Amino acid sequence: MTKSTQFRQLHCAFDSVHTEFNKQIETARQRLSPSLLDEYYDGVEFFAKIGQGPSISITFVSMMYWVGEHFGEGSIKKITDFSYQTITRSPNKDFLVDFLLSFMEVINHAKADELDEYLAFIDYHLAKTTYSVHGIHVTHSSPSFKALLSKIGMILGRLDYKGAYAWVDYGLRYFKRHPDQQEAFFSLSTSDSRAVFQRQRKGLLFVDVERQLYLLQKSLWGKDYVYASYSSDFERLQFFRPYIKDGTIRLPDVYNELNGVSPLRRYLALISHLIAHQQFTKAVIADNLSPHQRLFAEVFEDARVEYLSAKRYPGLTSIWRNLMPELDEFDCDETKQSGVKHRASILSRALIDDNHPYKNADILDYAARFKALMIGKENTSTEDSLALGISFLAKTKKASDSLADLYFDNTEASYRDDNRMMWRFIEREDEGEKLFIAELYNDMEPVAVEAIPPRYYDEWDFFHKSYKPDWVSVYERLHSHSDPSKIDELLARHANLVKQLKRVLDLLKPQNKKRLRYQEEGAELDLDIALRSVIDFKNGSQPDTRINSDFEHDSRSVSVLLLLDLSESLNDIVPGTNRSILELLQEAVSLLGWAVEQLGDNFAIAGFNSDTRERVMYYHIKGYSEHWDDTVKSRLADLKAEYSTRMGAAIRHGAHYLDLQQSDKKLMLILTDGEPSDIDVPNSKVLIKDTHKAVQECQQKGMYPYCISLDNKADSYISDIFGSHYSVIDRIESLPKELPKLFMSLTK
Amino acid sequence: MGNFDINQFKVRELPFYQAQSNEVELYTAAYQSRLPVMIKGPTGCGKSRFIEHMAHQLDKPIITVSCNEDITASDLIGRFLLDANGTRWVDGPLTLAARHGAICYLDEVVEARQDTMVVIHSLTDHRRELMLDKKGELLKAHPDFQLVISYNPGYQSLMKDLKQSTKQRFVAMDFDFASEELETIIVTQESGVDQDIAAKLVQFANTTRALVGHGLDEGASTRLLNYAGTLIVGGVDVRDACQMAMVKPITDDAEVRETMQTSIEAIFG
Repeated sequence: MTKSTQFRQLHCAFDSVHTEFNKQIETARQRLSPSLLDEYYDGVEFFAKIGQGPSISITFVSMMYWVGEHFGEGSIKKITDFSYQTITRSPNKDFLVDFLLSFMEVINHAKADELDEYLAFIDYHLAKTTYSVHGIHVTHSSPSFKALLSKIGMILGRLDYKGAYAWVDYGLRYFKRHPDQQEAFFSLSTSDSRAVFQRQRKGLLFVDVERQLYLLQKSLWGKDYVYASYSSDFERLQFFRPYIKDGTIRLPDVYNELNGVSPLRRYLALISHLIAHQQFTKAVIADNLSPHQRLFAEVFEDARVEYLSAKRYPGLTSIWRNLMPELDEFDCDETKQSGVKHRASILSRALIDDNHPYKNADILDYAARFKALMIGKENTSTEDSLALGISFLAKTKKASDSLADLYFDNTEASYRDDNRMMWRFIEREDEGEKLFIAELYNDMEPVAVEAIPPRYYDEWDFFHKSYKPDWVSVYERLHSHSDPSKIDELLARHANLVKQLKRVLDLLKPQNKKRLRYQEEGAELDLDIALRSVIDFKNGSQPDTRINSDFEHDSRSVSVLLLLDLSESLNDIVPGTNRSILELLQEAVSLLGWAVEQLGDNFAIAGFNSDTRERVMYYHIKGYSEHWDDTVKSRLADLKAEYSTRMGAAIRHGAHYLDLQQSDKKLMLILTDGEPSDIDVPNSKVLIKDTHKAVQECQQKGMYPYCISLDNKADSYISDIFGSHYSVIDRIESLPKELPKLFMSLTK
Repeated sequence: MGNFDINQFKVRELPFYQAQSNEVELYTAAYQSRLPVMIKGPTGCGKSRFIEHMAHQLDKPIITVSCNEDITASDLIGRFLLDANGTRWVDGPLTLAARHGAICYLDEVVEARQDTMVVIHSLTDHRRELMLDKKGELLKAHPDFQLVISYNPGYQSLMKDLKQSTKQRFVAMDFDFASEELETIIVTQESGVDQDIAAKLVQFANTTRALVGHGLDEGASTRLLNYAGTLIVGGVDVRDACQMAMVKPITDDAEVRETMQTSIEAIFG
């Protein structure tokens, strides 16, 4: 290409475009190759001619040389063609400027060879969200395109393309026909959208390594800190740093690989640093110190605790070192910018990395002083760090330190905490801290009245064969209580049945095969003993005739959860009696509770009902460690029936606890009088399928879910949920008698 | 039976044993009065080694019985066997020890069924005698005879425990893994690995012991530490030796294994 192209005249009718063009063309010439420059010219001229006014060309002029430089040859033409074909010739043409502007973010996150992939992604979203009411033309603009573009940086930064498509698909699946909700979803402003987004994150999610991290702190330091993760994605917490407080470690919910350090190692670096502080840092009074003094004291303190910790675990040093930002000594011009952060970061590196590249005399001097202190002094303390920090600052202080323009790039080591345990303020905490905490609470969902926050469970969407993440909120509460004597009366009424049961119970001692030797009769001959008897016989003494061996079952190891459906329909009166299903249920559960107590099995009772997915109540009636006593009876006496039956969520929550029990057999008995349903789900099939899925999840975890249904129309759906693991009790009056029997036959 | 040589049960070479505290003196005192001794402690902490060591020190033969569920009273006492001329009585290990004056060591005693252990009762109180009912003999124990039992209280289930009437016939000694310094000495001595590595191996063993109840039933024992040390002396890389001797034998849980791998990296750098 030639000089002529380089300096060719722009053909365009808009003066405003020429003005902008003249401003930008010099930069464009520097940044673009001749052929790209050609594409650039063509694009500007083209968009001035399509009858959409000058604004597209102006945006194009100011954006595209960046984009061309990033994506390379052919890219500007590709974008021009794409914009024309896909956007200007569709109802979305108003968004073209937004689309072009979004490249400012895109070039930060997309790699040079990913342009095609990105355009395909945009095309996919547009094609799916732009639709026609009457089916002939594409007539309505995409309600969510602009929202998507506004979050494009975050999407490309946090998700890979597979995750991004999954997220888009989810939004389309549920909000295709709701423009407002669709927009809300794609602007990441709903909690559902964020939940789906989080599941698609690239990198290692904290939840996936939680157990390993717990085991690590336990094995390396013998500590029992609780972890609580925070999400740094949703802006407000962007500058949040990990910390440890009241036995809880707050840490990011996801880590990507950094400088060749795997995410798990990054978590380890973080935890080990925090625990090192916990072991070696003693808070000092901070009121009289300036923020800069504190900053440098923290640098020395961080290095000190790491040094001490690495004495025991030298392998940690290399992880920490790799996570330290690598700054060039001369990156920061301290005549124009405040270089405190830069200096602190360089010092940090010099203190923990013996092979650091820095030559600055002060840095070298203080690194040597630090080393001498750590080697020379037996018990160093936080005060030593403080002294070093203050003296370092005094030595290196510059006038520019207090400039507003702070050098900040890449000065933070991600694994280091906010060092809050190092400082003690005698006067009130400063306000910054408080604002911060307030922000933290803002991020949580407002929950009225409820004390314990809900647990979220996924729900199976059978239409789309996928889970809706964190869809259902389950609140667990202790059931209210009343007079326990009511239960005793119920038991007294069934005195005969109790006696019968007792006889059956005595016979129940199953499981664990155990060999029985010395049997007169048995499954096989016990050769050892038979031989011995022969010898005795020959010897003239009385032979033992118990020469067979047999097997028996020994020791029960069963955990049982009885899950009661406490929905409104339980208040129905049973035909032919004057009692409600609820009363019969109380009787039955009382008998069963008493019977299981006799057996000594690990047994819990819980009830559930639901009022939409936002509020599934899970009532604790008897815990595994509680005995069948007045407290439990009083809760059982106060059972109430209300709302609906969202069974899947309750099963998942119950399974969560049952899974923690340490027994060979885990039985979940679900007692219900109807099919799963809830008022926010019009199609009952959805919840039936979800419950079926929940049952499968239980089975995969080695539990045995079993349903006892009081609904004599249950045949139409119950086998879809529980397979063959169910019984239908047609005569509800017989429930008190049947339930314990059923239980025993199940656990025999 | 006259030509039976009890001395074959003597321990010929002094087994290495590093005393952790005053257990040698305590045991010696118990032996002076021939009190029955019960030794409790986790797997591989040196219970059996200690008894052998003491037997050598006291110059007494030792007869060891590893107990299991199927062991019967006659397995301990003895029985008639068939031979060419009809039948012949053979002493069991307990009878042998009582007759000839050895230390009888019942290892992992709770593995045996409780009613089997009742046979030792008459030997472990003032009577010091054993009724051989089939043979029609009342055996008075030799003055040098002593009974020692060992078991691991952490590992067995609730079902497996000694009867109170059995427990209350013994004086007891608690064993545990040695302190870091001592265990380092033990590993250095036993495997020949150099002291720095031994110290780190011990440190790693302690990280596994901290996981007991959190995915591990028992941490790596001193015995496994010695194995690891031996492998290292034999030229195996430290990390591989730890994996082979101290991680893979004790757990199959992938997450626990990865945790341990990370601990190894943290410790060995």
